[in-house]
Amino acid sequence: MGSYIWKRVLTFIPILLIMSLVIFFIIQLPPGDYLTSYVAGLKAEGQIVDESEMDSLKERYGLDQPWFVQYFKWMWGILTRFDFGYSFDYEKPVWPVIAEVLPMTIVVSLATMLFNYLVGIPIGIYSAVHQYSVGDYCFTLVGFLGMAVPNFLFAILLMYGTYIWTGTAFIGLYSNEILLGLQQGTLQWYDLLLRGDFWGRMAIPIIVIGTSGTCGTLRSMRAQMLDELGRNYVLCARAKGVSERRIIYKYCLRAALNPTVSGLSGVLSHIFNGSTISAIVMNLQLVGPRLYSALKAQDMYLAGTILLVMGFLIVLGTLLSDIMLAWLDPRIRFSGRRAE
Amino acid sequence: MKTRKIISLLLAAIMLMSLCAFAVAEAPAYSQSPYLDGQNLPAVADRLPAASDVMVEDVADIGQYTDYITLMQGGSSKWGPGKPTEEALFRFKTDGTVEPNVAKGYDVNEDATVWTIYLREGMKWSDGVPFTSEDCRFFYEECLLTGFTGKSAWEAVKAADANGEMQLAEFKAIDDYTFTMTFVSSKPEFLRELAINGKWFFAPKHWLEEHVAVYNDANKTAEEKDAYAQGKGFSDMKALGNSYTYYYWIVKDRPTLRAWQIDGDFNDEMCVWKRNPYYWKVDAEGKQLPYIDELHFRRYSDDSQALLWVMDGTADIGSVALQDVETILNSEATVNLVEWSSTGWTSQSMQLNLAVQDELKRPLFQNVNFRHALSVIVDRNQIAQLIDNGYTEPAQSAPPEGAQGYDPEWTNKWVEQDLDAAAALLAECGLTKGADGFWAFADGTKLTLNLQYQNEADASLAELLKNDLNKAGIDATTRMYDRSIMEEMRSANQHEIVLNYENFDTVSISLRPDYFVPMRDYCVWGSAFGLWYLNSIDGKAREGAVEPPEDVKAMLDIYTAMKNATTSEAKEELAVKLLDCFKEGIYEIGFTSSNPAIYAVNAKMHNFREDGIACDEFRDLGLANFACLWVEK
Repeated sequence: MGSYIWKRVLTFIPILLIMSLVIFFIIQLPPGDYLTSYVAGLKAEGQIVDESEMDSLKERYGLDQPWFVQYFKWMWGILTRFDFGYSFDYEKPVWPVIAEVLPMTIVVSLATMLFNYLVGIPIGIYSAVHQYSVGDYCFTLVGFLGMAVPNFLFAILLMYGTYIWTGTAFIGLYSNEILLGLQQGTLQWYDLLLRGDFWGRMAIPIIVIGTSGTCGTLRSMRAQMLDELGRNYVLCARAKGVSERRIIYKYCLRAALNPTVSGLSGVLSHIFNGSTISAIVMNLQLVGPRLYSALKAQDMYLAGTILLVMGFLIVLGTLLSDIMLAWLDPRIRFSGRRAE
Repeated sequence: MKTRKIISLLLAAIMLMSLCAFAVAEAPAYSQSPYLDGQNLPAVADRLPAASDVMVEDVADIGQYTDYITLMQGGSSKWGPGKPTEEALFRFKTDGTVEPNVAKGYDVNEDATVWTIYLREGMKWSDGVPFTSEDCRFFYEECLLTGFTGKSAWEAVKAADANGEMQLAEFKAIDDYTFTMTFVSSKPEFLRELAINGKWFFAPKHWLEEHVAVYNDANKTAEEKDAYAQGKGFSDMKALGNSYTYYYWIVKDRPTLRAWQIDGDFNDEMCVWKRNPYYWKVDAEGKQLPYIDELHFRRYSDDSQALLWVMDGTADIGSVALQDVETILNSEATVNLVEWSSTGWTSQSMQLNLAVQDELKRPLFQNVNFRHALSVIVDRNQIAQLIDNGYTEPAQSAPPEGAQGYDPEWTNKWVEQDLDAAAALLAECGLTKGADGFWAFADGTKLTLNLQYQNEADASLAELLKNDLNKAGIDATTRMYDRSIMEEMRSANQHEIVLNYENFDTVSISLRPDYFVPMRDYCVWGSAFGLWYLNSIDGKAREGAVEPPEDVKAMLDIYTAMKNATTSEAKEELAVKLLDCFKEGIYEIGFTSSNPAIYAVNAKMHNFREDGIACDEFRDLGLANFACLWVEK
């Protein structure tokens, strides 16, 4: 197992290098560059940028060089100094721009993930065990609705709902009081985890972002459980008098969790990124919206770094999920040994 | 004798005491916001300029100090908080003239070559350091002219010499509170030009000189300078200079003359601006302005959030789109909707690229009859009702009422829909109608117009225009492009017919001709002509230049003469001539009159002017004079 993990880790290097090249190339693909977008923005505000300024800006941003030269300079900075470059838009090094929003991105992502699994898995089991019952139909209906309603629409409805019901639209994660506290330094992001008003506002993103995932988990769990419950080993266990509880939770659930665990490969990346469109609609300052605006503005080092980190986390997540699958499912472990 | 002496002494003492009492009564009784109490500051009178130089704002309702108001900030534009807090040397009034602001006053010699600017004695930066003419010299000579700001020297500080070459003005400090700007030739519009593109002409030398010294140090290499800037958190020295001297208002701790100073990161979800204790304006009762202690800028990522914040009272002032007015009126929002007029020529427009690359279309687009035909094909009533919700009326793109060049005849030129007249005009242009009912070129090539736009909101306009064109037998396509792609297309002369892209809008065409006249590659309807014009001036061979037709060349000649004109009258005369060219050629086809700017303002807010004009030159929302606003408790 150790050598297997080591080999997999070594393959990370070429994968990440190729990934970085592809990412950089794709970011460069649309017509224009950051400067075009920047100048368009200035013009929309009535600003005037003359020829000499354009040339000076091009030189300053290094945009007067071919894309592969820019790429090699960027990679050289990363490999030699761990310097991911500067964000043109924020006029800061890339890492602080990401770090500003990373803690809250992780909080939101973990909370929605927990909601997803804590709600989706039990209901999935219930629906499978009580197939075609009233409860199953109700949960199925809710599940399909949850999958069918676009997150952004659901978010808008909930925000409008809070305005109608409470007189205050719950937009963003923070109330005015919290924002002032954060701004004045009397509050830190981790203090928020103990505040009721923060979790009151957190409810909307958790429900909005969590629901679509929950519905997916619920349906997949139900299908897998039904599949497992119909297998011969279950029949055999019942014939031997094993309790129904033991059959479901000890054997069927373990096997049915396989697809859920395989899906964990993308979880690390998701935790880092958060949900982009929903976050924009709900005005959540997370990594996702920063990536979106960086891509739109062709702020290439910021976008490139976020995508590169996401790519790395997907590769890492795949490895971790493979290891977890092997641990969870004896068939995988044993099939490996049989092959030897 | 002794008694007389005593009486005289007593009288003298009484007179002296009464004089003192009079003096005490006459000394301005200044007061400050309770927000500043306990901050260990000098007395308010010592923080303000000398009594004779304090700026007294003409405030309609004398106010109460207000703890904070909340404003909204979308996107990464630094001008969001920039304009409302801006303090220019001279500021615009709504009649288009300028008045002293940071400056106390000015004098000008007879031929307008020497401008003398007077500053306010005793005025201080937000850290208490005196503001003097040396701060102006430092900005002009050591920041602007050296390129430290990252911007080219403004047209405002240049004048043409006898050979037509632009020469920079010479700065001379007379004393701490007086300086002169001397031009090689007459510069009649110096103050108005300065109010537009040289809004601030000063920088805190005591705070900046260390950085500027590094920038100007001939012994340091570029790498060493960049390393210095990186130590301050910037990518390079140019980024540092641009940030500290151009977008300076978002730099924390940099001394300012504005009423508020940023206290945090501009990109924060809520950015707080705190009052400047050394602000130099008072109201008629001597209360130090601003009335509002803090500005809170809340960041939003989608327009619907801004609308909800207006409705639930989170935001005290917010700009409202026309389509949202009904929603606000039907809500329980406690806001007043204030309507400001605008200097825009139209609210819905179409501009044909007269230098379009297509060899068949180029002469057609340059033919004024073709533009006339397109104009009368369109049903403007439909656009006014469906897109502008009835807030505008059918009109041609023309200066609005009250603006320079306003002409009702122009406003109504080619406005009525007339398909028969359009057909006759198209035939005159050499087009023929094919068997399929669509117009084609003489060689049989079908005429297809490509309508391009960059805002999702313009999709409806594009569809309405396409329908009207199809009804008139003109094939058309519509397509939306990202803003940066559209910008790239414009600079590469790949655009064809653009909708609502840099609509004509200015308070004075002589002051801001950039978007009107193709004097460089800015002008949408002829960016490639702009390159030709630049080539004709400096003899370079810019790629993509296209020689303009005669009517555009005539326009460029007028522009050149206007730029070099030495009197205000001559400039105005040439501006009128220039406007005549636009009336004649209709280079922007407008469909509706310009729409007003609507602001939702907290119903308890005082002094928010109702007669404002929304335009960049007047600093948009900044015209509301935020220092005088206050909210009733």
